[in-house]
Amino acid sequence: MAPENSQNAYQMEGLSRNWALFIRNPIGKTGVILLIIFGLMAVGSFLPPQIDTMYHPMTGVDPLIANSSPPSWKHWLGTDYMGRDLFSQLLTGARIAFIVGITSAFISIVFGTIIGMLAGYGGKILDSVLMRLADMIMVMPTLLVVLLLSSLLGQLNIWAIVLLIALFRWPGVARVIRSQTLSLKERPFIDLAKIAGASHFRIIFRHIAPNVLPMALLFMTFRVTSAIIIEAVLAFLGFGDPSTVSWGMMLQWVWKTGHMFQAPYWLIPPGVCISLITLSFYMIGRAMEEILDPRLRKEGKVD
Amino acid sequence: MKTGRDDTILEINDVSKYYQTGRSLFRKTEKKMTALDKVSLKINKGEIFGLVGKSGSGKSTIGRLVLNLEKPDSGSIIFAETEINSLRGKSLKQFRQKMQMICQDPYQSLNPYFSVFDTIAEPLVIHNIGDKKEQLSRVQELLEDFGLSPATDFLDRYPHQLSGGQRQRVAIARAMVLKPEFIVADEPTSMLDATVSIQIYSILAHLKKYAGITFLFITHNIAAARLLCDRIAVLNEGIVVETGDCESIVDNPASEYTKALIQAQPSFSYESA
Ligand SMILES: Nc1ncnc2c1ncn2[C@@H]1O[C@H](COP(=O)(O)OP(=O)(O)OP(=O)(O)O)[C@@H](O)[C@H]1O
Ligand SMILES: [Mg+2]
Repeated sequence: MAPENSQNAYQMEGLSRNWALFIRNPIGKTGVILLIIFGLMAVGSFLPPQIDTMYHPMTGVDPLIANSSPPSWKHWLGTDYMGRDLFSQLLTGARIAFIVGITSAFISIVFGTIIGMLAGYGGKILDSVLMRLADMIMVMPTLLVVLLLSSLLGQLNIWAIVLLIALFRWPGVARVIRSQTLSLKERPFIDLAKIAGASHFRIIFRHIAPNVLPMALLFMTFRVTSAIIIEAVLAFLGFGDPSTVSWGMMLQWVWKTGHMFQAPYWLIPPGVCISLITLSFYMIGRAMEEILDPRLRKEGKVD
Repeated sequence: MKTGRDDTILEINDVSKYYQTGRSLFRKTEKKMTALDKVSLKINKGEIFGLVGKSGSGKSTIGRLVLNLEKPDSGSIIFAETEINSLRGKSLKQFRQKMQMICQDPYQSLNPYFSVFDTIAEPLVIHNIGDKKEQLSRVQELLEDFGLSPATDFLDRYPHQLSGGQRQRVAIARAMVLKPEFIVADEPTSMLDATVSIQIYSILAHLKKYAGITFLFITHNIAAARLLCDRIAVLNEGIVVETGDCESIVDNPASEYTKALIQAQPSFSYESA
């Protein structure tokens, strides 16, 4: 008899039921298919440099090409102004988008969830302090502030950018988790935990956390979207991590080298990718939201 | 109508509790509503003490104060010879081992993410009692005791896989796992149907008789109080109207309020007959 396993079993059961609902939803299905494609691209990004060093997205240069060239058999999407392979850059861009999107969303969700639970459960002074802080950060235009900071701090590497985005994106999550916590706090099982002698730590992390987790995960998908966009804009404006290539940076190079109107094969793929990957996370979030909607969830609960 | 015996386990002395209502940005004055007004009660060891009164009369508030979930604005509550509001740290944790609660809505009183095992064993985990194996056998024993058998069928279930009556039994098993001295039961059957209610009553009566547990039994059902309680207190708008031996109050109410309460009980004459 292992109670931990049964907890997992219950969560798995809930998950598989929700997954069935989720995948039946055309929005959710489209989102997942798109995401799988991008996932394959990100994984595939390791391949081209293995085949030939000239396919390295940053350092590989086709010795025969000195200018941007249109798609060919050798370079499926063509090359950039130095003769680097665009397809290879596009694949690497997918990897960077995942890294930036998912890690910064994850960090901001962890911050937001913990701060939201603390504010909602702690109440009074703790609540006011944390929520004023959240308000202050929330009214700042994230993009502008991140831009300012990165121009002040000079060229940032990708992890600094990830952290910066995360630091500005937790307040929205914290607000929602706080209000969920406020209503959970009134549920009798919380009083019963206190009566049993549970510490505040236990109440927050054992009783409240699992109950707010679905909402936190929902928010995570939306945060991924905004993180990817912010990174793209930063990179496009020239504040990206210079040691790697992202879609935003590809767009910057098109712009800076004056190929905006001469090289559609260079301009369109990263643009489309940014739109589609954010769309796919957005669609997944929307589909999850429908499952989390209490009315729909009740229908799903009939088992 | 105090009993001569001097084995008081809980003493509520002149306890008042106020709640702020209607505080708003535009009104500076805070309105205070009196939930309890100088309530004094004594509960003896081993009895079932009933608390009756209409909705909003302050019954649950007394329960919450006794459980040390909230503090009274004045007065004192003495449990097992210690004033409970001053308890901190270790002594508070000790107090938490001695007093438990069973509440009204079995759908709200169990964490949906806790299995039956997790729910019942949690107090043991919190107080560091026994290893996993001992906890498991204690939980199984309790499940069987409260008619959830075979226990192994229930251990891994989650609240949504249980009926209302089964949930209430799980809630009672959890309340009993630390072998408490005192249990506050706040309308433990008002969400359950009649036959299940009777079963729960008999469990409580059994626990009183064989485990020696003292109950504060909160109800608006006078018939249930009469069936179960040794003594009762009648509460109206935060004031104790009368208190004493259960049968004599129900059969011979002194106040108009109590009479009205009894008459408002449609099933009363039938059930007490
Ligand atoms: N947290 C609170 N804030 C403000 N007022 C409260 C609060 N808790 C209780 N009250 C008020 O105190 C009074 C007594 O409430 P209490 O819950 O003790 O009544 P009750 O006798 O248990 O009623 P019921 O039979 O409906 O459960 C009510 O008027 C209620 O509105
Ligand atoms: Mg009540």
